[in-house]
Amino acid sequence: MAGPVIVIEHLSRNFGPLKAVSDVSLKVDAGEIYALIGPNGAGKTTLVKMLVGLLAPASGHAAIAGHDIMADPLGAKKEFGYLPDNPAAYDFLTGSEFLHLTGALNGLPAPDITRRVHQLSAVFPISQILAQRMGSYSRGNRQKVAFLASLMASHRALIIDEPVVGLDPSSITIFGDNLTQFAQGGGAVLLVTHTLSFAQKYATHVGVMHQGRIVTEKAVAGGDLEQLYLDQTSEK
Amino acid sequence: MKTAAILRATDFREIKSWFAVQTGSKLAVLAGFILVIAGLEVGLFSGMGYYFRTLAAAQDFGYHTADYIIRATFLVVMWLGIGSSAAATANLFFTKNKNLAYLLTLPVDISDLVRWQTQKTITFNTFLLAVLLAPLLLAFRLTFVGYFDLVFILRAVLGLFGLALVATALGGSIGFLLVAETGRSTLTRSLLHVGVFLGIMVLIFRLVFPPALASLTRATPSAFYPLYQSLPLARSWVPTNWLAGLITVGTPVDWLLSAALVIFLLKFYLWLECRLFLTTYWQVNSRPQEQLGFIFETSRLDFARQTPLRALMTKDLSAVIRSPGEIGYGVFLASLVVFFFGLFSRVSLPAGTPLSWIILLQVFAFLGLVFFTNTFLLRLAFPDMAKEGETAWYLFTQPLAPEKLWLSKVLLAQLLILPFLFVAATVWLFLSFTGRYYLLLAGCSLIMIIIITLLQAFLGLINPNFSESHSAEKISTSYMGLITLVITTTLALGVAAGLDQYLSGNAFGILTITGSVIIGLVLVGILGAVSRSGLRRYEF
Repeated sequence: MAGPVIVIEHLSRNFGPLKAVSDVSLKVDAGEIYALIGPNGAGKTTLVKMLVGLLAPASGHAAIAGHDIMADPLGAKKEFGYLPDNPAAYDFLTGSEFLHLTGALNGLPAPDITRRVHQLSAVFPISQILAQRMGSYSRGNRQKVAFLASLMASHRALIIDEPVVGLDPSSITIFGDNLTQFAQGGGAVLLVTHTLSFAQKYATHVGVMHQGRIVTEKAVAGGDLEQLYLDQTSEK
Repeated sequence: MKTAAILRATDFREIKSWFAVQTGSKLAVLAGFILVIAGLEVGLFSGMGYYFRTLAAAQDFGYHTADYIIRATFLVVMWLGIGSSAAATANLFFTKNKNLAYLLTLPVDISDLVRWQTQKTITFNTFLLAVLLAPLLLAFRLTFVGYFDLVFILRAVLGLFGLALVATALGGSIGFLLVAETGRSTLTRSLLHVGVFLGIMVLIFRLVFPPALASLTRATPSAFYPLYQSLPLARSWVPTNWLAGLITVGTPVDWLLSAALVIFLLKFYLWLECRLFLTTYWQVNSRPQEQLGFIFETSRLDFARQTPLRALMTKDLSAVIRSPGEIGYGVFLASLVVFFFGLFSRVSLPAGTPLSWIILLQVFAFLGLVFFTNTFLLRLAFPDMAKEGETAWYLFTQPLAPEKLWLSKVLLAQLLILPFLFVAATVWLFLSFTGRYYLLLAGCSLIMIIIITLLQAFLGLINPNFSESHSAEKISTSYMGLITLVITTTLALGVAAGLDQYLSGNAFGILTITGSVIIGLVLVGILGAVSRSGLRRYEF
């Protein structure tokens, strides 16, 4: 399972005089779960938004499974599922309709959509709320349905911003296990998180971002992420 | 009282902080809106003044006819006010309101909350009525009295305040009772409510235009008064007549009855609200959520069998038909259209009616149709893309070509406008003043509606106000909304001017109409291309 699925090269973005992301490069290989950690305002979410095409980079390139997000956005978007930190939903749709809509927008055939929705309904114990309007969901349930939507199509990458805030402990475990399963199936996961214990448990690699730059990257196995985080981000 | 004062201060602070960001452009938008409204007011004032002066030539008979128009207007406006207040009250419970949810967790007396909400609604409604009715009332006063002074203005404000208060109190009470008693907003119940509203609208219409009214125009001076006195709206027991009387005649009886009506209804409404507010809120929020505001059942949306384009359109269409607020707005506007053209369909043209009067009616009906179309689109089609602000993370990360997204928004606008196209094609058949110009008037209406729909869709895609995605009203009153209003109104006025010229016998009018249509089509081409390429530059 070799070769990078997510490639970021020298990506930069300013907001006025503020350098939100400055010359960031990273790679996530197939089978890897890469956790990006760092303090608030470090530029993590800006980086992810550029990677998924919600923000245009000032310079640099980003590609998913070989598709440049700026030059070939359609090709790139076919290859990843995305979950933001606070996924607002279409309040007027039910969770089930939202999943069906995602399948349709990804061009899946009707039988595949039905089958996939059926499979995904069993991931979290939420099948009874899938028939309700998403406007009535708690933050955690919205997040679960949005996560399921990101798994609807056969993507090669998952890009996830703050995956576990708002989830109950058993859902966190289910979530993490599904990420692991996705990576073991040959996918690449890039997740941004402040929950170091989650990154420690599920990530294979970690990058610490501070003041718009990645200040260190390493394999997680055996290391103490909290100490790494404090070492790399404390103001000298 | 202290709590109500704090809540009012918070409202002012919210307005102040809204203006604190991008102050220049917001003030420009405000100034633009004031200019547009002022232009419309001047137009209405001139039109009504012209009409009242025609009536004034018939002395006492003319005055009574004008007085009848004021009474009829008060009655109709009150009914529409009741309808919109009832819908707003129901909407307050059926839609998520984070501010209200927060306030209900604080140690705030519910009667303070109720009073604060009522004060806001009545102030806003009085202002709205003042804007709506000022041209009519001023034209009436200037034509039949010759001047207006501070006393008249005070009386007018009091009359309008009373009207707003009665409509709010009655409509609010009905809204409360509907939510509390009938509970959920299912398709059958929603249709029943709409049916009752429109049914009463028809009754009011018959009250305003009884069969005896037609014979009034042919009545001899001796027969006029008995006939006039027999009209339902000439009776002293009609409550809206008391309020209209504050402005037109102002007898002590009118004052007394108006005051009694207003005080009674306000007291009743506040009592009802204090009594039912919390229980209704709990009741609505403890029901299974899928039963709230679902106009169409969930099983009807089969995204799985749809192409991406159709799925996008279905999603956007369900955002409209599953929202009680949007449906309420649509029904409210539909009732205005029914009333407006119902009114015009009752116009009979006796022999010798001046040509200028017939042309005025034709042009006014055309502008009315365009106005309603524009208002409808500005609220339901123009904000379609801006409403994606909160869900942009989803929509713009799906593997969709921007062109497909663009097309879905444009096609949805065309789909939403279909009822108006039907009205434009048929309504002229029922208007006595259409004469032999059906093809011209229907053709101009249809072409303008299609052009305006395309322009609204395109302009809604250029620089959408994503930051206000939760509020269609705020999106449509942003600076792009104002630009849209100005462009579409200017084009419609161009066609109206051409119609006026041509119907007056000036063949040059056809050139004016064609010119306006060509300008519209060129704008459609340019803005279509700009909106399509602009879709790639959105950032979130």
